Amino acid sequence: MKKTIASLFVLLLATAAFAHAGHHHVYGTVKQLTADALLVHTREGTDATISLTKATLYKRGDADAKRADLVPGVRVIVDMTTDGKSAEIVKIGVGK
Amino acid sequence: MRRAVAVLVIVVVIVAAAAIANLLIRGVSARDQPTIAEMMLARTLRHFAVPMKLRSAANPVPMSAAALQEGREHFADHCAQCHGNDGRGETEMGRSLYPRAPDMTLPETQKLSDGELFAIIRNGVRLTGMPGWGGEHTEQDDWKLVLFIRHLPRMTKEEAQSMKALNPVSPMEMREQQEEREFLSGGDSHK
Repeated sequence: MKKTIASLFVLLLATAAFAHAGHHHVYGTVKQLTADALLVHTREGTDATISLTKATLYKRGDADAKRADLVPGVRVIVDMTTDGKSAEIVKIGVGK
Repeated sequence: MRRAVAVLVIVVVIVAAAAIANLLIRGVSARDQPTIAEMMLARTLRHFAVPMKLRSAANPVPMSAAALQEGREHFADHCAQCHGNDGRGETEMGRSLYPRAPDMTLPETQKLSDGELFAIIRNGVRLTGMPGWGGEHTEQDDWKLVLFIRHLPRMTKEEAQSMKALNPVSPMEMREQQEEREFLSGGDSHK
């Protein structure tokens, strides 16, 4: 019986708050490209390492671009996934 | 027997007291995750809210590239703000609703009949964020939306991305897009 009451309490009280995170954008220039990550020097002056996955899309304007277009010095805007763990879309600039 | 009833009453009182205490302490927030009981109740009520003649109705609009495209454009313009272009509900609005906008690629939505989907679009769902669009759209429009919802599980990321051009854009988003264009073309976009 005690276990039942305890379970009921746990069930009742275990209502977790749900915090959402919006899409986060990173503006900067490419510093380095590795096998699974992009190092970006952000416009705020810091460096950010961003995970790239198979699902990451690369765009230049409205056209599709390639991962290989991420050369050092090129400007990028990275739209992070909603969980903030990796890049969803990397928008690549037209020049350095 | 009496003892069992007494124990049951005590449990009910304790649970009720804990529920009230929890309510008073935490308040009520739409940011909480809906409980399983609430979800089951909501789905049951939604089922009974669908007119009987529609429950087993099949889509009268045949699947075609043109009908699917019309459904896609309509969805991007009217539905994607909450449901997302890919129908997964991962939008700022969709994640903030109570209950959350569902992931429509999953069986919970896909196993609904065409008629049930149609009824939900036209009549909305009470006590949720789902409006009833019946007064705004033609029936043909909504059956084409049903076609598009059926297509969602097979939709590619590229297709969802291409729909962005069809999404309504707020003045703030227009400013953001302008800022992005300036930054990517080498301009000194402000922070």
